[in-house]
Amino acid sequence: MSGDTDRRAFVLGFVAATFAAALRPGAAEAAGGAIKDQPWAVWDKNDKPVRGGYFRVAAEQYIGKMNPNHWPVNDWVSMGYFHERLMFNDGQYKPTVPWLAESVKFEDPKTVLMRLREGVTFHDGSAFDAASIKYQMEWIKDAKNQAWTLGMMAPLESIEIVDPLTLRWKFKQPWAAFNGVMTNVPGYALSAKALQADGDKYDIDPKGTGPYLLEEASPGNYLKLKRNPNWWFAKASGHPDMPYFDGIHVSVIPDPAVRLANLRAGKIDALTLEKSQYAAVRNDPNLNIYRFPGNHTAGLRFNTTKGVFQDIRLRKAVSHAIDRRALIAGTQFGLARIASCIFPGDHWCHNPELKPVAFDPDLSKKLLAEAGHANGLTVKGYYPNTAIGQTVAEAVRNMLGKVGITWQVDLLAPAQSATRMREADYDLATGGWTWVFDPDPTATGLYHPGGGFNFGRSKNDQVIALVEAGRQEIDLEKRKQIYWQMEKVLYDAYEDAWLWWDETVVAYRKQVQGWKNEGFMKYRDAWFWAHPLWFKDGKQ
Amino acid sequence: MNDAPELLSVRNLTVDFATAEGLITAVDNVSFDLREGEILALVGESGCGKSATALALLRLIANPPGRIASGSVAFRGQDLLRASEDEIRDIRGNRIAMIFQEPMTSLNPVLTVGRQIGEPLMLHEGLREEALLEKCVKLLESVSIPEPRRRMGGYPHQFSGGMRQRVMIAMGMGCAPDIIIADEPTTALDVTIQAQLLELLRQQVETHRTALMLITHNLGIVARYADRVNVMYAGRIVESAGADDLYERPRHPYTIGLLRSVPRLDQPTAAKLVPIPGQPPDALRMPQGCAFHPRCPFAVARCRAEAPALREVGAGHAIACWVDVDG
Amino acid sequence: MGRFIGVRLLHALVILALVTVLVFIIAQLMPGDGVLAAMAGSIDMSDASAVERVRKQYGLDQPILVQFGDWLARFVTGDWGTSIGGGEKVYDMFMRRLSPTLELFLGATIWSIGIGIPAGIIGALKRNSAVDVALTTGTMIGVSIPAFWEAIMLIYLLAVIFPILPPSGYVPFFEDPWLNIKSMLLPTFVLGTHSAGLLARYVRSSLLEVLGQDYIRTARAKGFSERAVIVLHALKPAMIPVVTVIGLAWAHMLGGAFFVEVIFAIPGLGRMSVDAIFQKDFPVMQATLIAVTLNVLLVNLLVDILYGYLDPRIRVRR
Repeated sequence: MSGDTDRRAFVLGFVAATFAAALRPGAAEAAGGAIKDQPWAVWDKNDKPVRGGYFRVAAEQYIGKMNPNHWPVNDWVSMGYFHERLMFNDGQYKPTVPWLAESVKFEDPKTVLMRLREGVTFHDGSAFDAASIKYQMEWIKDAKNQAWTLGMMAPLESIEIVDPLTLRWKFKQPWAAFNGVMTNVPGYALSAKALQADGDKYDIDPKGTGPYLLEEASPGNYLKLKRNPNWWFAKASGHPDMPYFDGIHVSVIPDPAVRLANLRAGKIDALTLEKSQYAAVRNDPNLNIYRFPGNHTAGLRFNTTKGVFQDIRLRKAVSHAIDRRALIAGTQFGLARIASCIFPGDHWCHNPELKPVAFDPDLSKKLLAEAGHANGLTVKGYYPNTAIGQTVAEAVRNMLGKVGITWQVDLLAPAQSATRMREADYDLATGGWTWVFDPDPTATGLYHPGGGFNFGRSKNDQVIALVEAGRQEIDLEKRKQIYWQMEKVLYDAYEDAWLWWDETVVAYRKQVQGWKNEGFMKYRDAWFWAHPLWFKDGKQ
Repeated sequence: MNDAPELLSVRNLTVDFATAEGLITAVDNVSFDLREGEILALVGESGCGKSATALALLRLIANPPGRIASGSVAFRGQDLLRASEDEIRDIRGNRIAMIFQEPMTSLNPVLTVGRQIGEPLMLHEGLREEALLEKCVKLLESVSIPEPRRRMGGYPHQFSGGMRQRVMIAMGMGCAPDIIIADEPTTALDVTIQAQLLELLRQQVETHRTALMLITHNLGIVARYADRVNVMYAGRIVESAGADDLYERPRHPYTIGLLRSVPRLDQPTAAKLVPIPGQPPDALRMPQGCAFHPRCPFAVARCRAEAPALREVGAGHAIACWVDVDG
Repeated sequence: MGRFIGVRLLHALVILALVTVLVFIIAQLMPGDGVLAAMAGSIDMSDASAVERVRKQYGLDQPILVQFGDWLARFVTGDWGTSIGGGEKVYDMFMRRLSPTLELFLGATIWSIGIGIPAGIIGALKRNSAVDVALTTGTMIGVSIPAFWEAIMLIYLLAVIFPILPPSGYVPFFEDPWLNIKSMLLPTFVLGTHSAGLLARYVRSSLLEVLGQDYIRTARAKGFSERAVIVLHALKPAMIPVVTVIGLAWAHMLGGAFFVEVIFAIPGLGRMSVDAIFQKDFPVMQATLIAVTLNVLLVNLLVDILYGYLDPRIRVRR
């Protein structure tokens, strides 16, 4: 997670993992029940999946360490092939879908009772049960094991084994974020047996519960996974042939153009496209292309406590001077939605009443004149020095220039921009957020005085009060209202100039069957793993 | 005079060089003969075309920029200018050998001396291994290189200038050629060594009836060794005579000037040295008429209009001049 | 000759020692705490104990001299540390990634010499002819074409439009020789063409210069054919400056290997270096830097020895 707009589209879109500071979301109660009764597990009767073939994909980087709690993990897609999580987020990024956990129930704000699925085994044959989860969580909490997720588990006091498949989690303080953390990295179930035997070896020889298990690893080159014949979900869902591929081959191909060449040459079966590649392949008869919302907001950040943008009229002037539609067409190849506020349009905390700020350069000029800058205004700031960053900065600079605002924008590397951000040394700079899951890290990070991306540049008392209220509210509906209200206040105050919400494009070879965009958008990961893809006639 | 059989007969040889500014005629309609055992000197200032003439005989003019425009070179009746590549290669280094000036640069610095001496023998006589080695040793001995067997493995930079020129001569003599063309063979060497080397060449001529074409600007050498002399000026032969005849009675104003400009042993030291006034003509802007007329004290109107052809003025003595000055 | 090589070897060792110190110092001078910088965004930086833990793990809490001594002692014994990125032993990682890179270099050198030298020779012999102009233009293109563009175009041409070769990837030779060769054709070509162009130009001008030398005329006057003159007399001296270019090209190839390995997804040292730089993976970066130095030193040594072989004048001077 980062507050940077320079988003790296490194997942096929279905792995929703954050690598972040502790999450503190509202609590949810995840209902239990048989798999086949779950709405995300319903199958279309017309689909007749067949087994066979190796699914070939490309990763930008080699996975690195295969224990998700060890840093770095460069390929979370592959992680999801052999590890599964206790919980999933739904299509609105709400942590409500039970996966390896069958049910999660808050007994009180400091106690959770969790029931686990029956019949789940790890790749090393050991049982997935209450004892293994207890061991894993204690392993994460033991500093000598160097789990970067340790901080995320800080509120955990102890785990009590109620029966072989039931755990009672006890917290040091009320922990509303618990579900969110279970959908996150600590929620990946790892074999306690393997961890116990050699915690370091786990980095290269992982033992999860997932649909595929590691067959061969060639660091920096490829991963070869083979079908897990004992995948619990196949039995539990009544689809014994799941997963349908005999295995998965992940090649590391750093260059995006070469990844596309591999797809077009039929050497790989699926690819998350660069936006610039979409136009070139959208009519390729050998490919199926799917677009769906991405979890990323791009925006421009005002310094509202220092300099000219303390004046809301000038913030307004900037926001109305930007032609967001043109910006998306020109810099994002049309692959984005106009943003109206910080949470993406499909996020449960986004206030649907907010309409995008209108492009109105005349209003901007009027506002500038009212604020005493009829003869022009000069502001400074920074933007990422990537190729796409340069394009966006240039486009925005031109749009502002047309209404008389001169944006002196420096194109900076991340380390340099971090310094500028920390010193609040800007009027208008890159902003936004990648991976918005629980609303609090984003809201706190950008708008709370203690936020890691604020450093005193935003101090809206109304917003701050709402951010703090949101942290404590356990009732999901009430919590949603708090964030809707927060977005409304941000919007009215022109606290930032939000530009667009991202879109993701994936391409599959026609031979690959089973992708359902609607289902995926509704249930994301849970849908994806409940409906594994297959090759037509089982032939690669 | 020499009545030995004629070996080489050059007729109307013309060589052009294409330069950025235009075409230069380096050798202009040159004709001469060479007989067995004869030492023929080709004399002139640098740039007069004497080296180009020598190179043209074996078709070694670099093309481009050079080109043999016309003429014939008959070697034992065979026209070298029209011979096939194979035929001419068979003659080069074998029947007609060349010894170049600048022994510093004319030997390949990265190959052993032995190998360079042996090459013509390998190529033309098919000598190999032991036989080749023996022959090379003999050749080096004949040019008085001490410890020839050891020196064979040495590289040119390990030899002194004089030694290197001996190597060059040994290389030229290897296949017992009919003709040796020596282009300034002793330039840049001190006088004693010059004498040794020329003596070496003379022995070769005498013992093998080899014809020697000696290209030089050094009139002293000419006087001492040559049988016949061709004096060249601006690409043409301006005077051709027996060596003694020429020294005694030079008939061309250029030759006369040339002889006056160098000290002579057969004249009193008090005699004044008179340099020829002016500069040799720019090859790109040759004067109309006789090329020498701008510098010639005897020039008449005709000299400015028309270039004189070589004409007989005595037995075996010819000049290219409208005025016959009996110096 | 033995003494000559000995002196060169000693030079190389001194330089290597200096570079070792330098590499370590540079690592120290890097802005920020490398490990921590690399981990920013992935660990909770406000969690002081986590930060301290990481610092301790990589020995960053020790005085610099101690860090250097430790590092050097371990380095010479083959313990090059553990990669921060992959958790692998750097030494093992390095050795495994050496062979694809060596193969790439070797292949590129073969292309480069195989194209560059004949092109240069033909250019010199047919100077100013249509062939020469074509070759000069070709080599100019070879030198100036952006290798990235060349690579992508070739991939699309030979792997997508005419699917003859794999678009990318690496298969060890002993696993599948034929596929290995097929997959290395394009990367070695792309890496080789740049230096081939350079080489052709050097060979051409060097050969032209040599062909103008007096000793070439001497060789012609001996009755050698033009081809024999070139092979026996001109090539060896003409190669003297060319050897330097080949040596330089080889030394610079690691730079080219960076992107060729990235583009063609070859798991070699070049890509390892790039990854290490992006991930601020210090142990790997250090090993890479020393490998680069070693490569340059070895090549220089080789060039010197070849020089000695080609030019007897140098051999004696030392």
